[in-house]
Amino acid sequence: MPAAYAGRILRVNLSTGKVTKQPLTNELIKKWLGGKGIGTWLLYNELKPGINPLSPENKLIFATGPATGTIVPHKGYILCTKSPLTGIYTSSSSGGYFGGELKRAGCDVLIVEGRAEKPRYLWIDDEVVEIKGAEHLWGKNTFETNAMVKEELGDEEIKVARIGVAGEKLVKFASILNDYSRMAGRCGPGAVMGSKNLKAIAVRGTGNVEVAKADELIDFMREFLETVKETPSTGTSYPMWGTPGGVNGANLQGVFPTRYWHKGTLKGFENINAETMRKRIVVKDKACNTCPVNCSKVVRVKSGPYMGAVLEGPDYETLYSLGGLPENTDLNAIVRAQEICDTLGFDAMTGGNVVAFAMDCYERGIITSKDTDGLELTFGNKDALIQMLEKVGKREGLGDILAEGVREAAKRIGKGAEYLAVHIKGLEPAGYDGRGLKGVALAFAVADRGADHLTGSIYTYEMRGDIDRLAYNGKAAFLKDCEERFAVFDAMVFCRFLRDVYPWNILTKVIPLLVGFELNENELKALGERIVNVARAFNVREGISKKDDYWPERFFKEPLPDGPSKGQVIDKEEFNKMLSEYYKLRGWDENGIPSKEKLASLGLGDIGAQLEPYRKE
Amino acid sequence: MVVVKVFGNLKAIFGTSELEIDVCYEDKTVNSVLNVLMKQFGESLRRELLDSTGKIKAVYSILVNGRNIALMSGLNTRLEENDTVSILPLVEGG
Repeated sequence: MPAAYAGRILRVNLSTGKVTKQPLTNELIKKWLGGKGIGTWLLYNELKPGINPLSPENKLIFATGPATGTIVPHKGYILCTKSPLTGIYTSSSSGGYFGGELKRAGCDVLIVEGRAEKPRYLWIDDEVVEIKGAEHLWGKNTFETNAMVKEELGDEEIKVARIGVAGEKLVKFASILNDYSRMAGRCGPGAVMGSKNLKAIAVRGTGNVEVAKADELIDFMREFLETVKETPSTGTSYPMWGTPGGVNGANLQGVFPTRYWHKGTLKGFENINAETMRKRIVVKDKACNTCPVNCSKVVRVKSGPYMGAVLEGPDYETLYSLGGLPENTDLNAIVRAQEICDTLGFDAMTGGNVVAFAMDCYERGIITSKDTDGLELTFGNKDALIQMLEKVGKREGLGDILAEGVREAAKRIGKGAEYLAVHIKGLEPAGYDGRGLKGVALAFAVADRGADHLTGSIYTYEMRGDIDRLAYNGKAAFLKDCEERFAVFDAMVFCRFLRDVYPWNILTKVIPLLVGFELNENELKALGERIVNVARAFNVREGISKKDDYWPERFFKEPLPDGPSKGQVIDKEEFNKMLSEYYKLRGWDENGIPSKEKLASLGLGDIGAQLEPYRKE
Repeated sequence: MVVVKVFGNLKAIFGTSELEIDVCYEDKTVNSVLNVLMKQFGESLRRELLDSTGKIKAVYSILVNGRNIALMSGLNTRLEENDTVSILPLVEGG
């Protein structure tokens, strides 16, 4: 067994109560490394195509990486499952200490399957694994659950991953929180957990995580930490401003989604930017695990109607979803809105999207105050935003429909709502308008979990001017390299915000120090390609093809109306060229299906045969 | 006249987030705007914005009408009447 691994997969079947400990094989490690690599491979092999994501057949795979639990800065774990929001593959990474605790308890990967008859929680106490009753926790919010489980087990230091009311009520974008409020947030893993009647997973791990070359790793880290300090993003921007530092640049370039994706600049964005946050509400800078960056900002509202609201955040994405989209420039109201999402346990990015979508419908008369229980759901009405978010998390009134996500909600509302709804493959996008960021236009379209910014992470390079945000040429090749490097990040369970300090040649240095075997740059790129291809294969089996790799029609037709990206659309012809080039570089056919030859060259010949029924003549 | 917008720590140095600057027509570039600003705000601006070799620190971005000057002609990027020059901390996002 290579170093940096506990050597074990822990499998818990909630239907039978059976707990199994399986070896994590060398073959699996060498081919998939960890995290998203191992998680995606297991998910592909263990799920039958077409299963209902909220049925006992779905699985939750918590996969740590080789860096988890070591001194090398890392996130914690990657959660792979079939999304109830999108009906396709998803993986979601989470920071904090839960992943490290899991590994110290002797578990690299935790697979939860089946469905308990009654509410349960899982207690992993090093070698001892128990399934315990959770009726008394059902109905409790995420923070109450965390406190109650710790108290019941008599240890304040244990780590608890849990769902809130939203997860219990199967809100399709419910999240799983761990530590205080780190989370596997997107695409609804909390609903999968709720469907299994699993309220929480508590872990106490007291073992050690050995690394292959400890002395050399310490030397590496000394140098690495200096690089982190000297690098603009990790040494200055993220520590000082956090992700909210992006609010200025997004608005000044006209790509900050506003008024439910109808505009690219928010009037009064200065009221919710990083400078205002730091001046008015930030009480503490915070980091995950051994990370030196301190990108997270803990905030407290100190006065006014939302006084007392406390949060780890808001970050760029929630400033966009709860600020830009509903045209809300009250920072305190954003904090309160996100506090509701975190407390009830659902993704504030999709949450902001569904409420702003409803505002758009309301303003156009598609829905009325009869549908909203009297709420005047107009853009800029911050109290209505907050109240509607609460209804979503509890599935009350219109909130019950919005809890399905924007794609399904639009279908049910009808009357032209589907044209307004913004999603790709059922996932509401992160906060970057593809009309003014052409690489983002491609990246969100082809990302494995829908309109996702992290799979390719090209947004940073376009936003900060490393590459021309308005150019179409060259973006396909740039994106391919990004996707592969970040797939390796996710196999290691590294954080995206360290993107500038882990180029390929540093990845090839640090990985052997942890695991004890070498992987050169080409081998790492092949690993990245394998992960991208297996995730795509999973989606192909679910019916995904080229037809799904598109933004909604209005992004091709309706130009941004104001700001520095005024007049920009996604040009259909240029987009199609980028998409074709991307498929070609990937070795996928014209319909976006990985070719047999490509899969065989990656050692995935079996998948090539399995995809045969999905290929067109 | 050129509009200059500043963000991050620069706001405290400028005492405002936005100001208007007149530069002579023949030399209307980002560089000439910076020279005017350096004269006006002196050492504190120099320390915040420039590194020891006199270059703009890598932690700052400069945009002209929403386009990054790194992708145009850098500090020699020419300006038109009523253009907006924004100086802001590097944009990273989430």
